[in-house]
Amino acid sequence: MSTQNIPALLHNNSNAVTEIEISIDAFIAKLKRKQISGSYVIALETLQLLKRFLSAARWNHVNELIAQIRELGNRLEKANPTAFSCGNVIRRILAVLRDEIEEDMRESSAAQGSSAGVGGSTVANTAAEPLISSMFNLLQMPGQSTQEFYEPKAKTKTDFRQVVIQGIKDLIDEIKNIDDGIQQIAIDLIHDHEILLTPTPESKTVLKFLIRARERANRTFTVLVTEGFPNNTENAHEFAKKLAEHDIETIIIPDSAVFALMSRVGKVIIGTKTVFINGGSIVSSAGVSSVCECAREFKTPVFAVAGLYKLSPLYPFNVDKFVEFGGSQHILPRMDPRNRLDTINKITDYVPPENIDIYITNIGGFAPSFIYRIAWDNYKQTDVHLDEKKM
Amino acid sequence: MSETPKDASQTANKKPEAAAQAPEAAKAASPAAPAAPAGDAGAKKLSNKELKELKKQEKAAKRAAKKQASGITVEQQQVQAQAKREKKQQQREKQVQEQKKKEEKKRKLLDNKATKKTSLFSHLETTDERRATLLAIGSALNSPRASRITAAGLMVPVVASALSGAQVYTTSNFASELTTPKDSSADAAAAANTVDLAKSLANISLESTNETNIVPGVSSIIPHALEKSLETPQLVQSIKEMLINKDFIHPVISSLTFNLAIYKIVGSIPRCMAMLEAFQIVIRDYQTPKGTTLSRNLTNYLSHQIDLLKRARPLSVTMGNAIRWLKQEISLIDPSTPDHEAKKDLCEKIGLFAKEKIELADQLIIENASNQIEDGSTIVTYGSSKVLTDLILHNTQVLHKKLEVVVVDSRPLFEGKKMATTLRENGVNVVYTLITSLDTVFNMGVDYVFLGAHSILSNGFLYSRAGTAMIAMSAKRRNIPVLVCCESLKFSQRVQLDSVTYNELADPNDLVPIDFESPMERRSNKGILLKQFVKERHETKVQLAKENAPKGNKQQQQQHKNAKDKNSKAADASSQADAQGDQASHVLDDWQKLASLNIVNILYDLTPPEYINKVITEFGALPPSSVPVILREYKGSA
Repeated sequence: MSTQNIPALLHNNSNAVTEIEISIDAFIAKLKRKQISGSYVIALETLQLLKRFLSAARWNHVNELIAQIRELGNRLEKANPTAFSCGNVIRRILAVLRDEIEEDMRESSAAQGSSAGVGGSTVANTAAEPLISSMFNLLQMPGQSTQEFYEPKAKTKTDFRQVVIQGIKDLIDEIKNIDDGIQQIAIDLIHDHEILLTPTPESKTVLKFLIRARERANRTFTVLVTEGFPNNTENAHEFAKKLAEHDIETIIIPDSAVFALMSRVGKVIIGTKTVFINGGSIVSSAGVSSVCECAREFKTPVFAVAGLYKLSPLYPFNVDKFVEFGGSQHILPRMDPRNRLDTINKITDYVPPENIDIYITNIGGFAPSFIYRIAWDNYKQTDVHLDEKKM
Repeated sequence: MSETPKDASQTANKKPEAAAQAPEAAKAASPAAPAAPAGDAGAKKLSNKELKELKKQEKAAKRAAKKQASGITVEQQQVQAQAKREKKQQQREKQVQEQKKKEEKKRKLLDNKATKKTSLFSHLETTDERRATLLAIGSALNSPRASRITAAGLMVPVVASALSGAQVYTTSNFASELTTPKDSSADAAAAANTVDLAKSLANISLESTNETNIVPGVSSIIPHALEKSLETPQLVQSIKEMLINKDFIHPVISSLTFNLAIYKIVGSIPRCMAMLEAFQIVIRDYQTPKGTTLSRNLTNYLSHQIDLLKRARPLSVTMGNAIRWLKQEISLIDPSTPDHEAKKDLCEKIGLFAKEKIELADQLIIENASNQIEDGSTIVTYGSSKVLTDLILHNTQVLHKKLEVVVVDSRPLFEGKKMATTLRENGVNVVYTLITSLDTVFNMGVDYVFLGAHSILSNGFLYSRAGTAMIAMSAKRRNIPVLVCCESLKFSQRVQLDSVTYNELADPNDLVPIDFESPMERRSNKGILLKQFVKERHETKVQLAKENAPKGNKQQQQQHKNAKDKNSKAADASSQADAQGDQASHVLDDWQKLASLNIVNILYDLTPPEYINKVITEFGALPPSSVPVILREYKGSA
């Protein structure tokens, strides 16, 4: 099924489609203008949108539905390539859908028995799926095997709309309850009277975790908060204030003082924006990579907290593509117009996997080198690049 | 016998009716209980606890026997024991009360505290303390002489009232007016210190009354502004000493002190130069008192000046080295030389010292370092350094090399801005960035990192502006050479291992406003008061309009309201625009009220020698490990 047919399909449909188009456009505009920020919010809103999209979508075969969802995902990703959680959740839903199709195929082929050769081939295909880690499959082009799923005549009994909507509901539930899972594990990683440093004050997961460690586990500890000047300072101050209001000893330090104080720090906690398949991660505060480098130099453990939805199946071949830069007004508000300077204003930062010791997700703690396995549990290779016009 | 403990426990467990008998039974049982196992000690092994108890009882029995032997009956003993117990109880109660009081006091102190200290840096002097001292001394020094006569009449009653801690009836109405607000505002905790200080002031005034040399204004300024900051007796003591010696302080030094304190003069070399210049003036104006010689007395006189300078900020290493040299020079002066000749000589020597140790040294460093810089290379620097600015300008303008300079800067001082603009005005390609973007900077193909220094310690550590270490580390990890340009005047005998043990704390409030101005610019920001005034005027206007509104009919009111809304919206917008200014509210404006919130603003950090490839001095380029060698070899000349 080629995607060229989809616009035509959409036009044929009734008001519901145009309505959903409007809300998609509004959401895309919001993404482009960065009017929504924070991967948590973006993920939830994307899922809500996807839910509405599904209830409005019309399709003849599941593969059309997959193509439509991919198209939507592609549009959202194009709108803001650094809003990773958007693409992540869509890939998760696609994986749910594909799993269901697989299940369905297997059932129907089992029902048909060995009557058709097509059914036999799909069985063989599905059997081959777990062998993804074999060397041969590494060289194989992804997406070839799924091509054979296409069976216009096969009438499926499963209500895929219901399946996907249930998948979305489950995912929303998971995202909303992520903090509990993370906290359970993370609390065991800090001890009493420890000095912690966090360079990502905008992370709500870190904030909730610290407050919970103080109140539930009743640990006393000191938190150093770096300012992340210029883009994140206000967040940092608010973060520090919130911590202090919960009776946690909090110290705000300028970004330059990190090295000076690192020798006193027991652990560095960072929140992440997205985690790539290589175990590196993008964080939404500049300067974090330097902090993690300092920590590595002092052999201070760095642990990153990330919900499962932040895992991305992408590989950061070109880091510059994923790191965002801001305007000069935040660095040099007043510039002599005759003598202009170049400025660099980094908004997000990339932390390489070697500078992170452990990832705490809601399903457990993992070393950065193991992240790819966790990611492939939730995504399908086929859906890594949504912009590919294959399927 | 062995069953008695069981019985006792049973009786103890009986209902309240038996409670009256129970204690007796328990009493009877308790001595028996430990005795019980003693009875069959041979059969049963005793636990340690039981053994101890046994011993205790034996001892008590012995004591009782002794006392009985010495003629004290059992009843008397009991009475004594009762008395003892009561005494102990009382003592315990007292202790508890005292503890409570202490805690309360502590809490009060904490409430009153203007200065907060973190546990990490509690050993360092905070800016608030420094500022308090400066304010006290400054008010004493800068008070106009004319007010002295009128103030002399006011002084005594004020001090007297402070001494008694209560309001004292005075004939002067003005004086009582002066005292009332102070007494009402003075807290119990702070009162002690205030009184202490007032006492010292009184002493001064009493000692010097025959000269009518009273410190006017001080008594009214100190208690108000400083009662919160002055809590350590040492601090009060030091202020007292400074106040006693205030007559020795030269006005040049006091103005220099304030310039240093507000970061008008920053950087170890400019600070040292400013100090040397000030010393030249001080020495020129110096008059040897009768009975001593210049070589003996001048050192003493200078140390008073230095005491005040120390109050502004801790002395930089360069200043320390220069002072040491100057004192040595003074001690070498032949006592027979006439004063004016000696003074002239010293001034010349100071000038020479500055020229040789700083200007010529810089030239040599620039010459040496220029050999390192290749044409077309990219250089990263941090903060602002005089030598480095000169070095880059020399290379681009005289040697015509094409250089790209990345100036990395950091909050709150933003010193790099100065360097970036200076370089840019001279046509150098400059990239200006903040330390948070460091990662990107080093991905740009950097050839060298040039760093300035505050000081290099004897163990090879570089003591420089906070953030330097991070840059050196990042560069080293990427195999980019790190070079430090540093005059040998900055070499220090001190050794230090980490940045926490010794450092300088800057004002934490500098980190509260989120803007791009250094504290220096912020303070010199003119027109803040005017803006405030305009804002207040606007507010009163709006309020007046509100009050007048009910008079009109409803429609008018509605219109009025709409207009007002628009107005207030416009005002909001304008205040939003003003947000870059100083009066805008910040998240952390009241951070001092939150007990567990702290802001640490340290000025320096230590870079380990392994991150530094080369130290370029006027003696040539050397590894950081050679610093003590230079110190030893050239001690005579330094």
